[in-house]
Amino acid sequence: MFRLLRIASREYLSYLKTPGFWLSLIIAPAIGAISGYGPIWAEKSAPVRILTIIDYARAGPAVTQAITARSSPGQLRIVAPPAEAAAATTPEAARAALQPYIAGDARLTDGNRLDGAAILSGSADHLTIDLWTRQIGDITLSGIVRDAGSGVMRAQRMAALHIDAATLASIEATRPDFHEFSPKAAGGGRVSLKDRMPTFAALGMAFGLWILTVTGAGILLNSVIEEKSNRVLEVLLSSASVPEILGGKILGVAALAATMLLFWGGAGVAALIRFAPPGTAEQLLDAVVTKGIALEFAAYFVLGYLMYASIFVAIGAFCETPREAQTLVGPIMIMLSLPMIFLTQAIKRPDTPLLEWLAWFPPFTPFLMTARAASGPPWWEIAGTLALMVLTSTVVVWISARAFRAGSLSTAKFDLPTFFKGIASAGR
Amino acid sequence: MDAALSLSKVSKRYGAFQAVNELSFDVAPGHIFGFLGPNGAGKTTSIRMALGLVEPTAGSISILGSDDARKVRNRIGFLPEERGLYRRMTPIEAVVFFAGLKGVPSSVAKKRGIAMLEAQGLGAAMKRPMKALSKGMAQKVQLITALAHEPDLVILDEPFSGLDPVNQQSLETLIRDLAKRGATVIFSTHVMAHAERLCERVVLLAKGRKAFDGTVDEARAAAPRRLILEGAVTDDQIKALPGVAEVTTDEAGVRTASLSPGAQAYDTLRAAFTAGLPLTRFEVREPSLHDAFIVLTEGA
Repeated sequence: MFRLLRIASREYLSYLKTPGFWLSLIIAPAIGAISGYGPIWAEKSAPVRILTIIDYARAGPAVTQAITARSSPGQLRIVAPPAEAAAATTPEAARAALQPYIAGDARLTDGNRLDGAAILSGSADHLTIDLWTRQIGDITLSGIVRDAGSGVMRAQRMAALHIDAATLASIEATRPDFHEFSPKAAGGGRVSLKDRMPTFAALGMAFGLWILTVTGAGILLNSVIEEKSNRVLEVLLSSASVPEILGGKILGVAALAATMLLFWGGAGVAALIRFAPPGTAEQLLDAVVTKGIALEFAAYFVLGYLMYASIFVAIGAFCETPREAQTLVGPIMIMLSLPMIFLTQAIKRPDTPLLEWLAWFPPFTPFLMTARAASGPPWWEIAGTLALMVLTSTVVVWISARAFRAGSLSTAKFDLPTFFKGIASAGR
Repeated sequence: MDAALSLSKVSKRYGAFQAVNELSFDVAPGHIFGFLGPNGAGKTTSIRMALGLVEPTAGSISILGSDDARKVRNRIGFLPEERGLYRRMTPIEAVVFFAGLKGVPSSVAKKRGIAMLEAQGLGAAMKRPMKALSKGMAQKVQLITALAHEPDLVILDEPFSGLDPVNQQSLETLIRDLAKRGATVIFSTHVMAHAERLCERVVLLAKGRKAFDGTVDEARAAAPRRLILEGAVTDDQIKALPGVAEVTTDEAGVRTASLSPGAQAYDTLRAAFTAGLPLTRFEVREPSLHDAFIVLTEGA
């Protein structure tokens, strides 16, 4: 046991000392924050869009008001059309006059570029809007203009039915007194944010589990490849048993993954305390503990990580370069990615038959069952998938140990027949 | 006294390839033992079987009184043929780590490691990463990692390869010191000079089979003694002398005559004088282990 712990400790400390580990520790939450707030920051820092409206539909200021009402401050500015476009008598002539401005060849009198031009034709109760934009991909602008047009047309038609603007506004503001109930919700069955917390937690944990598995397995693969290419494995094998080496390496990297998890978890909770409504962090932690998600997560993490880590260690023992390992790592990575496709569905509709079946497939079980944990799957499903995982992990670890032993001392160039022959012959 | 290592009819087969075939030998405790053979003879496979890294297809192995090397691994020091250490580790960290795996407490391993590294002239390099050391320095560090737990049995696979003459000399001294301390040292090599200087007994392996097992002197006896002859004589005149089995002449005209087993050089010399051969040089050359190696392995 002391050898296993020594190897684990070396594995843990050797990565802890690398700048790469600390960078990844910091970069991962930074990427999370950037992917969450990045688009908002980008939108806020983008220059104000300049839009002009040429009204042949005689809709009046209503369209301008509707567009302004639907845009956020600093998002959009409506300006008077260039003189030649304002003087045009037909939509076609206006379009021709606006063309150089939209293309960026001409500038407005104040020196600004024109980002868009809405040419209104038809009638106020049946508008035709031709929106010319400088950026084809700017769906925000097109959405605002289309919504504003719909609003104006609706108001016109309501006015024709003698419904005034105030009445229309009050009708549009009408909402049902909606309450959502579920027998699974606490506090009399009424669903609250607190009841949804386990769902968010389970989704986050399934993602976390996936990231930790991929990261941990990748670290192990590279570690074994390094030891194989540096000829350290033979010395290790003469100093410790295969289970001790395998166990030590897997435990060391698991501790590393746990360090990452604790850091990221802590950072997440700190972010929730700082930015989310008061009590959210407490509700989330409470949900994770009381719904038993933490326990399920721990069980599936241990078994899933053990299964994938063993496979990667065995592959590493046969390879002297990462390139050699790609032959087998590629298909396994694809296999690892597949459950991610179903993860959102596993949260929304955990009882989908396809997902229930897929959750019994051991390579997918840890991720899909963690995601489904919040919905409270039947106990026999949890027990059954866990039992299957225990069985699968045991078999995988046994095969991997044989492969590791055979691969460590093998000098043959890696290929699939060599790999399987090595597994078959190890120990003989 | 039980043998430090005993192999009995040990074989190892990889598919159709017979790597080792019914190999048997004993290594007495406290001795320096040479495990000799040309490249591909099965030396490394035999060592791996002895260490329990590879299971034999047939036969039995006893090491330090145990039938399983893994049970006595803390008493064994091993230097593999293909050497390497963690590139980011420093020499002292490597010694502490590997000695730790053999059950030596970190504080003791560190103390011993510092002393051994300094003794090998590596004091200044002790805290530099392995990747910054020269190949020779790294080899010395690896040897120290194999010895820091003060093993009873030291197995060194081709320990001299890659070392310069000064370091080879220093390694020979180290091996002698280990034996003086009471450790059994087994080393494999295909360079006979080291074995000749160090070993009490040798086993010679060729194509997976044992070709010889005995003392260095016994091995030498397997090769013919030679006479180095110079003078105005012909090959036929030399061949006619008693005990001469074969004659070869080099470019400088120096003749080498192989003596038949049991033949005495004195009888040949007397016959040469009697025949009045005008010899200017008559030198008896005892066979070296290298000569024995050639003779013993060429038929295998």
